[in-house]
Amino acid sequence: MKKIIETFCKGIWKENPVLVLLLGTCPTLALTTSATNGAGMGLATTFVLVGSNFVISCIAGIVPRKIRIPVYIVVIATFVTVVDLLLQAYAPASLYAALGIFIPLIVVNCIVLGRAEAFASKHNPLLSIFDGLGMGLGFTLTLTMLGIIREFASSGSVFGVKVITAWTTDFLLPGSAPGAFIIVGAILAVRNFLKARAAVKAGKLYVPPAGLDCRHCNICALGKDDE
Amino acid sequence: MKIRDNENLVVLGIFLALVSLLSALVLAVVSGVTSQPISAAKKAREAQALRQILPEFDNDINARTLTLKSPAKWPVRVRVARKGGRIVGYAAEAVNPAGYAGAVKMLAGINPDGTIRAILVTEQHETPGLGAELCKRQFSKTIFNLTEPTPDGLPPNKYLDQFNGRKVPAKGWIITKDGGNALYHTGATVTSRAIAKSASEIALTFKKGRKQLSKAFGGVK
Repeated sequence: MKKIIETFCKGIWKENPVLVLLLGTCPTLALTTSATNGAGMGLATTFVLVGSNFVISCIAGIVPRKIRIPVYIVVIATFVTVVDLLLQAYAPASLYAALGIFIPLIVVNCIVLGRAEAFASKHNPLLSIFDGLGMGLGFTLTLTMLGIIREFASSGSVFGVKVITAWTTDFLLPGSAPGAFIIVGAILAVRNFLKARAAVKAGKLYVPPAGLDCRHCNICALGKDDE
Repeated sequence: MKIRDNENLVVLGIFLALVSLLSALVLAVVSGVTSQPISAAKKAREAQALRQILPEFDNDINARTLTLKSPAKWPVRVRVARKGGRIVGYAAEAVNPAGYAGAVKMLAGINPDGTIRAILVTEQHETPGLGAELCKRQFSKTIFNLTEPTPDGLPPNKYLDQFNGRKVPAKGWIITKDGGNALYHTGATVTSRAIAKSASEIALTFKKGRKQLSKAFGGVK
């Protein structure tokens, strides 16, 4: 039980996919122009993540190692297409209009494949579901937060509701891609600053969380010691 | 030997094929279940769009369509709206290939005299929050009117409404940046251009195609 809670919680802050793992930057930058879009994309990704994590942890034992990545991609792509069809059929038209062209991008969202390879293939289905939920929730919260910041800064509204009515002309920078980079960068800087300061206060050297740098991943050969 | 460590190409190929087959099966089921709601949602969207841009009508608007060529050689799809047999307006649809990110599809309601009644952008991939805002029709909500009910009718959009009821110049509407007098939005010049161009093409088609229209639908003065 303790392990489940730990797995679930780590995605939200300690190993937040956007702010710590720096995965899935494409939807993070492209889809956070408004709070609604950010939340919608986050929820769609969470659904795919939970589904693919579950299936992959179930089949990981029988998938030949040599072709595991193509098999994972097929599983993920299937889930994404299911989400796409379900959204088209049952979601409000405005949400599908906003997310439609980005849904196929979930297939190549590094978070999904990254969690499949780094977590789901090595843990049992139950833990994998909670990992997907936690990571998805962390992703959704971060995207919604970014969406709120960017939407407010560019047009004075939050979730489509104008908070400052005197905001007549839109401020373009936060709504555009460069603005997204600047805001994400600023949030990362603040987070790292807080972490580093806490580490210094505790008299330790700040090191990134274990298992999250290149050496611990086995998707590609980068970062491996060549012996 | 365990299948996990298998390196035989044939076995690997068969495994991958089986996985793909399984996924195809799942997709076939989901697609079968959702195909009806999807087409229903599409139809509902289209019907709502037609209601928004046209005055009240009582004929089956999809019964007859006419495709006209615009001056720039785009096909313009025209349907006629009647009430009690009299023509009350036309619905014209055209796709401008030159949006900022792909095509911009426009649906326009046309008055019987050939002027534009109302415009909707039905499909676009413009920059969210920038170009896309020019194509969107939405009632603005503020914290002060949050609890009030949304008003009926078509939400205003000054970039789309600027052509309503106006006579189209011989060369079409041109945005102020290019020396004309149609509105444009800084930072979304290409989208503004695409909107003005689409509206012009549709209006010019109606100006030049009167004969064809009256032949096809009758009753045009």
